[in-house]
Amino acid sequence: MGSSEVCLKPVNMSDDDHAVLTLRNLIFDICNQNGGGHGGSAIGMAAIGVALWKYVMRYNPSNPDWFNRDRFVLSNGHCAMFLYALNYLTGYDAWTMDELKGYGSAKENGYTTLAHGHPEIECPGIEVTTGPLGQGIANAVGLAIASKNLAALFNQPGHELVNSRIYCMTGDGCLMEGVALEAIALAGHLQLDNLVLIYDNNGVTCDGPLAWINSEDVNGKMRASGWHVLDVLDGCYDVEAIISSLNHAKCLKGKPTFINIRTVIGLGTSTAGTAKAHHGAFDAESVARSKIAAGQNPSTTHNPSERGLRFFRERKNHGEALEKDWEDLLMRYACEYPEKASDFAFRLRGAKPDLKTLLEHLDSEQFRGMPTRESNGLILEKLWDFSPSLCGGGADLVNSNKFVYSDSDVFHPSVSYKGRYIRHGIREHAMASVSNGIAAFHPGTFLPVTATFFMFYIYAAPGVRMGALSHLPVIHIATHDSFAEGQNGPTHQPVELDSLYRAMPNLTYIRPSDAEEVIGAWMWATASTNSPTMISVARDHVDNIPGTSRSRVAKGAYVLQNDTEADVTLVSCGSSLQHAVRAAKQLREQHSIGCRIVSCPSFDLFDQQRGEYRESVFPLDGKPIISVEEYVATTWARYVTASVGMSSYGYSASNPSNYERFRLDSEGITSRVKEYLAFLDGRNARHMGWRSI
Amino acid sequence: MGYTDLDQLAINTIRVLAVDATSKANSGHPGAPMGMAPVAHVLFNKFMNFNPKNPDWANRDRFVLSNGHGCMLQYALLHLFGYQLSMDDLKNFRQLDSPTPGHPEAHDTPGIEVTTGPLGQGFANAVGLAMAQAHSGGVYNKPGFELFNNYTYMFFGDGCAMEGIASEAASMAGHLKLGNLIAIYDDNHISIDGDTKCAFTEDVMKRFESYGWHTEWVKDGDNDLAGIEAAIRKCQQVTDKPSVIKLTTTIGFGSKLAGTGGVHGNPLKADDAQGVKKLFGFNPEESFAVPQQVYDMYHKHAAEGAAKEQEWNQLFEKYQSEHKTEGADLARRLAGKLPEGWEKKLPVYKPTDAAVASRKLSEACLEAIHDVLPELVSGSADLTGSNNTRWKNAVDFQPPDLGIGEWAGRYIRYGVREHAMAAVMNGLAAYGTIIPAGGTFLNFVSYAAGALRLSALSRVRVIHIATHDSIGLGEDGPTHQPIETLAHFRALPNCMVWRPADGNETSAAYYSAITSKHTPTVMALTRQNLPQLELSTIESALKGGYVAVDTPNAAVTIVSTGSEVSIAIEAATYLQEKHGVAARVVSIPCFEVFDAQTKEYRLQVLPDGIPVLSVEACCTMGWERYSHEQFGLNRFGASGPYKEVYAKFEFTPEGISKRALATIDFYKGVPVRSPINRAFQQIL
Repeated sequence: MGSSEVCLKPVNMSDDDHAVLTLRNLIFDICNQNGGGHGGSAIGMAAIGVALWKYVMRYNPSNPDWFNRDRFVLSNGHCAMFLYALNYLTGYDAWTMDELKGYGSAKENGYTTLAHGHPEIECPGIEVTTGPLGQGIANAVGLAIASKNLAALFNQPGHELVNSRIYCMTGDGCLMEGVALEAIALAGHLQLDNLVLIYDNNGVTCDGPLAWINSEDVNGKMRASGWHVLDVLDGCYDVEAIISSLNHAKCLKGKPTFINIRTVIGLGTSTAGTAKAHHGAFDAESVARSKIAAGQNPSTTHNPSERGLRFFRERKNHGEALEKDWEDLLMRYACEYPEKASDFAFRLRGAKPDLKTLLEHLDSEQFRGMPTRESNGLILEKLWDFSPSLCGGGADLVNSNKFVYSDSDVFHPSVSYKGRYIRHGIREHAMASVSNGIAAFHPGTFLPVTATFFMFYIYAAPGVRMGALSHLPVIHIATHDSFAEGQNGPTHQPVELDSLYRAMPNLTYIRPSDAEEVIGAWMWATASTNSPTMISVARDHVDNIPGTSRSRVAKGAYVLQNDTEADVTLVSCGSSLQHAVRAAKQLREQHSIGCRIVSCPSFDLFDQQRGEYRESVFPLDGKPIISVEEYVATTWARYVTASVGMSSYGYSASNPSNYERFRLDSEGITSRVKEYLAFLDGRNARHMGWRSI
Repeated sequence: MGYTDLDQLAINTIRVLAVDATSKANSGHPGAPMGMAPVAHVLFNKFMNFNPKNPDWANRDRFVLSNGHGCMLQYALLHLFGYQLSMDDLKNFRQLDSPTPGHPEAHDTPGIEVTTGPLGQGFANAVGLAMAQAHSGGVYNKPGFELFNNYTYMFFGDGCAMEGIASEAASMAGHLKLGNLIAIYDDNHISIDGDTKCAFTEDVMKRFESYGWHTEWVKDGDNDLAGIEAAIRKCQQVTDKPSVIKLTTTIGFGSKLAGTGGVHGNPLKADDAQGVKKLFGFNPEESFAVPQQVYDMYHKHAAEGAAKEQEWNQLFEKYQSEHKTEGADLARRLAGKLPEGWEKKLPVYKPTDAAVASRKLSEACLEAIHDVLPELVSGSADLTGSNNTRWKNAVDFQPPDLGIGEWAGRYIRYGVREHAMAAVMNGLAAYGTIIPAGGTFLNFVSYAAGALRLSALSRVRVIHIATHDSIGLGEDGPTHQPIETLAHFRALPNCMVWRPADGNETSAAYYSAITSKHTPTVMALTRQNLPQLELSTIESALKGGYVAVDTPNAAVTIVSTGSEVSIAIEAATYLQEKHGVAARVVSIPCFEVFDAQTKEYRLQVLPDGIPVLSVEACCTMGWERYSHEQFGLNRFGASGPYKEVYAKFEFTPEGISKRALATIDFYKGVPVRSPINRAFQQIL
């Protein structure tokens, strides 16, 4: 097309249609600027974007963190440019055109951009990090829970302080993922009518037509899961119909709403309606045609028309006004309900009561001999009463997890949305990801807690990982972490799972040995504002081990019994520590082998200590240091010279017989240590290299 | 057909055995066996074809207890029908080394098809077994030779119904129209935490209907045996949909605590147990009692099953003479043998061959071997173009009436359902005629970890084609870049993680994965191109680790895997040229295989006296076993083109050299021992 023939006449089309094209054209440019990206779905969703950002959602581009904004989650996070383009058009200060140009660019010489390959929570205007499919839907359920809970706690007649609605965009992929299906069932059960799930039904996935892989009746599935279902048949152009359905959803009570919107992936391009539009660049001819239709010069890029910009930018003032109204409301509320207002301000600040002092003064004598799952449960109970931000629950094993709650505190409309105890059902994966959503509502307003058997955090691993990656403080209580889990056998006995969580960046995995260290674990977990913690506790009784220290848990590892003349150091954690302590006694008394003992509840915390401290705990003098734990021991190799651990799965058997079978009781440890010392024969253990013994 | 007192007696015998075994073990789950005994009796005695004397008969009906905690139900049935499971074994329920562990384990107990317990897994395994039946029927059945027409029956409870993996699998089964799959949903309203309405209020049957299932409801699952039979028969008649029967039962039927969470996971109290026996006409003082007429009835059905197997064997013999090629092929598969010489097809590369991404090298392997290895069935969780899992002329596995594939098709479109994919593969492998391979990004194998663990625990051969295996995937960023994943899977007992560095190593990975009959494999493959190494051969790679650059008088050994090996080799050159330092380079594509080599060999690869630096672009955990110092990435990655991401974290010749020099310096004057030198062998 010759540029001389370019048509720049004012365009005879409605503002909405023009806005849709403005958005599409910007998406074309972002997608093509570095040779491709996930543009196809974003193009298909443009009319949905206009409806949401222009007519439905309440937000303030001048303050992305305004507390009572509606939240938008892009569960199909690969379409990130959809979100980026709208953030720019509506005038988020941080989202300049230069940022958009960063999408897909080389990040050389220190260059950074907000426009990552997938939306990341650290960026203004992004509610949660998404990309791994299904996670965003579960996050949205968490956000909806948070909003409902705050509304129930604080709203008063005529004073709707909190009424954030949650809008979540999904493609076909998320709707196939188990984590999403779990979360959808939970949202239906909880009747979260402040949640709208918008389905970009374009009938195409990465591999090809959806019909290759899925024939289900999606609407039927959603109805069966307790959702209202609305249909929009032309989601490509019919902005009005989309607005109507979104507004109608506001009136639908007692159930979350699912809006099934038919769109065409890569609409108006040469690959429209095919899997080829899912990822890649768009053909120049189609892009030019679209720009001409909007009255834009096709030879320029990243250049939305004045008319288009004005249409969206008006939202900036609108949003500022919304927030101002809310601030006024808050003032009136403070006059009428001063006490509630101060509680609200407390939550708004993300403040916590003084849990540190409470934990410091807790008498651990009362927990003596108790399995750590029990002392943990009792400690949680005390904190729960004291700290309004704590919320959450378990995945149908709370009696085993020892997560105590009262029936009146259950979060459910049949009880109240004021409740903080969430019955997640047997939905481990959703539990973790929903909790991420609750934590993401506003920094510090909630401190979510989850619970299940340690082994079944394997189901929840992607959710836990997303929490770690997104810096969201969530506390995971993993019980039954030892072989004394009660004869369920190897399907329930973790031997390798600690490797996953100890290797996971920005997650603090703590395995306390007794109530004293459980208190220490909670001191760390409740103080953390930017990382999740997993507290791993056991079902077996614990010996009284003198010297364990709550305050030293933060050191990660510390010397429990010192002996400068010791021949060996034994180091352990969790309920294994008692076996190590017994073995040390046996070695000392029956074999005259002096033992130093180190308690090491957390590698992650230990690694943060200074070099001198670490060396004082694990000296480099070549004397043997032996770890004891019923897991695959390679995790220990960076600290110790030898390890007593597992290299196979466990067995279904009574607790003591398992420890005997795998030589993990004091007899077994003692004999393994003796074998190792005989092998060393006085040689430098460091020079001999780490080994599993 | 009418039901008699004898049927009721048999049902009560199962219930009482469940009570006795859980009481003796003082742990276990009596509630589900007591509630599901009636349906189990009808199903096993009226419908299922099996021969207890040969649990491996290829066309037997499959039974999966997805609510595996109720396994005393299954153990009681296996015992009563005459499988190799004695009364003493029942008495040893949940004891060490008994064939009656706390959850059913396929490799431990004859008659158990798949290992279940972790909720939702069995559901997906059953879908896999039913797919395997449909596929095997598609491949082998001929007019007059219905070699594969067995049913797959599966029990599941509320717990499984809530798990995401079961929803994924149910959706897949509906799409695939698996007519021979019949599931029975134990609608007992109770989970561990109490009434299911606490957390579970959805309309389960409606949900299954929307997945494309046929549904039935038996309202009195405790007593209505004729109703149960009629429902199962109707489901058998629906051949173009999987079926689910909602069976409303009373958990712990007969106990004082019947219908409550109290009977879910705890043995009955002594007086309650006695009460149950009295109620059912058993001697309350006696334990583990089985009326002879119950044995007789069940043994009669077992004998019928044995006769059916005989018939099948004759049919198969005739088949082998009439359809020689297919017959020989099936006989070979059933014998667990691979085709003679299949491995000769694996591609071999020269150092001068072009640099290729290992995901493409994997594709080349599939392309080369799929013809000679007809049991290989590939697939992907909606990332076919990225995983490179489909050979060119592949036919999709689909119900023929959809017009997009056929039952005999060998490419499975798993959809965006990673967890179900992995568990379905376990079911496919357990059927006995298939070697399944499935693709997704390595980071999303984490979604499937629950199922992969069961592959390893239950010793099945499945292959995970895990592409985009590091920060080298680039732009998709930290949500997609694995860091901790390899450490996790390497720690998983009986799981092989291969991270090949070039073409020959990739071929070796395939050789190893396919010949390891009892071990799953995760292949970590790159998106970015990798050069062909000078010293790599299939043979040396099959040792798990080998010397990729040998240098006399080396001051340091750099050990690495996959995409970092070639960078380490460049680093060795850089060290020589810029610093006059001699460095060796070792490639260890598979820890598990390397660990199985002789100590002499391993010490040749990682000799005493030279400090070892490991290099891998992910978490360093676990590398201490081969190295003195570790260079890796113990933080999340970053979004950007791969070369820039590599440069940012210094996975470059310069970055590696810097750390190699630091390692040499640190160990100067210290007599270092090889990390291979160990006092003892590990118990495996």
